[in-house]
Amino acid sequence: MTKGETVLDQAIAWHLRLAGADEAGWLAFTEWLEAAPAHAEAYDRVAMTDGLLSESEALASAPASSADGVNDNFPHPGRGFGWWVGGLGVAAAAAALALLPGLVRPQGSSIYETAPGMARTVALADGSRVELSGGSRLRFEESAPQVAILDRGEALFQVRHDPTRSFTVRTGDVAVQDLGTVFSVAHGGDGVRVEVAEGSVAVSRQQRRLTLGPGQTALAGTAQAGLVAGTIAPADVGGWRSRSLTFQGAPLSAVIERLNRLYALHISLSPNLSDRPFTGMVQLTGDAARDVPHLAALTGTKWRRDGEGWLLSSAD
Amino acid sequence: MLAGMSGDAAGLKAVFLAQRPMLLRMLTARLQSAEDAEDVLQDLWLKLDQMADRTINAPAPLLFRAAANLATDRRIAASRRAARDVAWAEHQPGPDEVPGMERDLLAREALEQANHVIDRMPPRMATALRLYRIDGMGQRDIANELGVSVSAVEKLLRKAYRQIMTFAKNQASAEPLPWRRLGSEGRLRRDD
Repeated sequence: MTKGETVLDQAIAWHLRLAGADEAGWLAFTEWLEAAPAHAEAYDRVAMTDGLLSESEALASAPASSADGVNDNFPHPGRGFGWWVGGLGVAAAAAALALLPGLVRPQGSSIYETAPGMARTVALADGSRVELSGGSRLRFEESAPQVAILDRGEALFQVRHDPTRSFTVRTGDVAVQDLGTVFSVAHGGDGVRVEVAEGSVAVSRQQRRLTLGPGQTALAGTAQAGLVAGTIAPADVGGWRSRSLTFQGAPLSAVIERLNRLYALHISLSPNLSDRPFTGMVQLTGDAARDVPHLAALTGTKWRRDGEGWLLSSAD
Repeated sequence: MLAGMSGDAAGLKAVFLAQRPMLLRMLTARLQSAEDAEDVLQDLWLKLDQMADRTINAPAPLLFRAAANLATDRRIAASRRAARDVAWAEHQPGPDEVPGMERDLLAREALEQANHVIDRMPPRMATALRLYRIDGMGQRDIANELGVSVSAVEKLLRKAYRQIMTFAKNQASAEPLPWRRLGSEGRLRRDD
């Protein structure tokens, strides 16, 4: 077994060297692989384990030279999003920061934020594009530019796939890894919803992992662990841009919260309706005086003006 | 969608063609199969247009790295597919099929165990590994970040991988995914 361990050490050393290897280095690596089947086997183990590490929450939350846990001036996630705060990552990073004074220094991170009703397109350096809906916040840590953190709201990602460097969206305990694609991530009151228009993404949460193709969705619900698969017409992904929204069994409170955020509507809901599920497509005009009655009709509720806003209540 | 072809695609394709024999040799050694190696090269070829859109200083090493990553992706996909095929084939797997299901469990278990190992690493080691693996930093930059020498970083990383490989049961370690049981479509053959 000592000999096997030596081969494993060699495989690890090669794996670390390859990141910066030139052509001569790759030739030497190839010759090492060819020298013995045990070499190829050991390297296979190392590479596959290394592949696994991209899914490791412990590693992602290990202390880095990031602003994690340091920037207390970030506004807190808004109402309705408290459920995911206290995610393991931030807490663990903060704890580790305390252990490592001087090692980890706060650095700038890019934050993109939109007010309710406002949308914004962010062009990333690699040619990818993010369309951020109203009431959303997305940030990139300087130390991990290929990881987008969606703190709240929803965004449509059009990602230029790079096989050498994958792009990941993190929100709460959900990670969405792009495999070359157009997809949307929405972080709302009922959970995190991922919808794919083109290409595919891998969604992971805790130990669950789902690969989604065009027209497939995953919901990481607040109420339950794991991921629930669903479907959507690919053309409906990112429908908020054209004020066209599809809901599948979403609690009415989540529907209203989303509409308020996206379009700066001021709709409130009588509490007894919060949990009523809604399934259907909502097409809005942008004129609240028309949209609210339409919404009331679709949801079987009664509407009335409430100061500057609107109130939906039970129809009976 | 983001279209936009870069003018550099042609240049990258030329480098690909010049390096093709060496790429194929590396992939064949890596995957222990000329057929799989050809498939990966084909995948790589199809991705060149996307890759060419960024500034590339050293195209040949980039191609080798991308090829090696695709090869590893293929191995991981094969191991997951093998586990799935076995799991779906029968509701009550026979004794010869249990290793496949175990392998799928092992993948989850391996991740949990890797987490366990990482959580217990000395902070500096965990940071080095994170910067290297999650943030994609080079060893020199990590050395600057941690205020240590490059060789110290390499040692830290070697130890980190060593710990994970030793303590975390790898999906391929208990029962290595066989090279040659994969047919041309990458499906597990059930008759051998």
